[in-house]
Amino acid sequence: MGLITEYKCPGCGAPLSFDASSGQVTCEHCGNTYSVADIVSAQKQESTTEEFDWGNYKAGLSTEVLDNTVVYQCRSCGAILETDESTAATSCPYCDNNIVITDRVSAGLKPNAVVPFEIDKKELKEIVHNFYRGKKLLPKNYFNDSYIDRILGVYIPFWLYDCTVEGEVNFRGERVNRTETSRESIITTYDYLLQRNGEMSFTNVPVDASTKMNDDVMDSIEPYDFSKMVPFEGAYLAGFVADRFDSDPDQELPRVNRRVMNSALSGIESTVSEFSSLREHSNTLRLKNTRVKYVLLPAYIINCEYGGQKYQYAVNGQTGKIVGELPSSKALARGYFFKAFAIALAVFIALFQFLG
Amino acid sequence: MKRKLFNILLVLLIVFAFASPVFASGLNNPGLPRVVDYGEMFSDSEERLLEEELYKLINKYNYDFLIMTAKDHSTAADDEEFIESVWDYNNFGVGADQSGWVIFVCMDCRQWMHDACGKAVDYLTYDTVNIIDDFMEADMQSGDYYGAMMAAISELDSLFSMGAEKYVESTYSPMVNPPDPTPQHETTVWDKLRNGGISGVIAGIVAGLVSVNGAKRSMKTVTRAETAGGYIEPGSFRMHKREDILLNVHTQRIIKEQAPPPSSHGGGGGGMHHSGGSSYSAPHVSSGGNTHASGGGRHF
Repeated sequence: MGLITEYKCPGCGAPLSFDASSGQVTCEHCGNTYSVADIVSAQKQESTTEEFDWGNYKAGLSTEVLDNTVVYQCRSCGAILETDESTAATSCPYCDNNIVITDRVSAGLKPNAVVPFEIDKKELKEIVHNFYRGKKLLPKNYFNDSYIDRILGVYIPFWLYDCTVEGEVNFRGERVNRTETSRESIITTYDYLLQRNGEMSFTNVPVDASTKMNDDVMDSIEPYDFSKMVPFEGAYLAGFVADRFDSDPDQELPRVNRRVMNSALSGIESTVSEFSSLREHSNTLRLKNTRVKYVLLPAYIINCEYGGQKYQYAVNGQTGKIVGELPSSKALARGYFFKAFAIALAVFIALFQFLG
Repeated sequence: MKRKLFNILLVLLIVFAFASPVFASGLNNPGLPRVVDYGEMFSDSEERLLEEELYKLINKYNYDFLIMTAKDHSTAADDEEFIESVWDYNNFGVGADQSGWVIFVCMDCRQWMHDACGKAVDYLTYDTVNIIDDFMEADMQSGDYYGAMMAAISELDSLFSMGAEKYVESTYSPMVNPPDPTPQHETTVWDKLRNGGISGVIAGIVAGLVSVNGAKRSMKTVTRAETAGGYIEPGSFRMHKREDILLNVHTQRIIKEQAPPPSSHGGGGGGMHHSGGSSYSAPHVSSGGNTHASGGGRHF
């Protein structure tokens, strides 16, 4: 019997010995016996894979350039927008300033696919009005319908990431059993190493590829129905403008890694049940079947200014979901506060008069 | 000569004045103190006053009464045995059955208990010690040990004058001890307005802040996406290994504190480890051959 000094008992921390006859590892202190594979898993450092290796995931990106498009550049924010020859774009969807046609900028890469607009201006007005409804602190007359008439729908550049996450996640869990007798309470705690190995595939995880768009706003306008996604054709730009990506897929990997990792861990953890406490011990998650697509997703960007501050919100051009932050009027907030205050005061005085 | 006679009479008077409670009581061992303060809980003057009160009980009821405190403590069973041994072998009590009552306090473990011997056993029941302990508890917990003992002596006086049954009845019956009527203050319209106004202002501020915050929250509908659960391919989640390995089992046993079941010998427990209520040890024969019962045992 030889002593394996580098391994310690997961139960009590005492040194473990390898029993050649049984082929197992035994703790002479607490008497527990483990297989070698189990003990190797248990001894793994408590580490978490935070950055996935995406490998050669950009192989499927198109190298074709857009043709038959007109390129506009915003004089104020520098946004480069493309549209077809029949569309006249006069203001920048990001900053509302004037844009000019330029021929100094070369055409951009052709997207792999596009999700066409399904919401028209009429529906957009209704969506925006419904969004304002019930917003008690919204300043009066800060927005009018004529603004919607002149805004253009914009195709936002997105990276859609595909991947399969596979590997092992180890958890440490405790199960507590409490037995009551007439003389004593017996609390028995069972300490487990929970090994899970599995895989799950993610398709079309979207991350916007425009640095001009607020990331949280773009996250919030999800989801898009990608079953309606079609190969890109220049004709889809008629009446709309398309922003060109200015963020490399590598730059956006931390965002997609975070989302994929959280979902993978959550999915695997859902296979563990009936433990009173649970914590992740280690994981060896890795990616395979990685791929990225460059797509254009439809949105309306609405920019407003109030009190010297700019507010931006967006409407999903396919589903009509509207997200963003609206300005609050301080005067209305004060009035709302005093209204609630007065009602509560009156109610309490009345209650004390009748019941006190 | 007259002066010498006066001095002799004075000495006799003093001796009788101090010794009279002892002579009147019929104590088996009147030479021993009735407040034995090894726990150093009382000042000298408090000890003297307590002893005076105990002698009043001794003379009134012809039972021995003792307050004993100790610093050290071992176990409940030992305490009970210790008190009974002290009582029996020092010949405390009145008469051949050494009738009397002792209140024992352990300072180290901050607990107290009662023990009765001989005919006094009839007065020590679960209910009687519970009532006495109720009267002692607040003072014991606040550190007014003298006050607690005076309260106990007062309750022992009531107990021995009424008997156990009537003492319990009188304490629990609202007719015998009606609650002190508190003077009713007539609430005026102004009082109602003031109370309602103060509450209303507080409620109004809370309501206003909650309303404005709620309205402000509705102005923002942006949240960062932290998961990609909506993009998992249906049917792609497969588990290849699912193994739960038991690494260790740890067992913890917590002994419950409980009142001992009555037996033919009584004894058992003694209740020094009880908290929040008194316990009771049924009458039993001690190693000294006397009948004892004990109870009480709250923390302070």
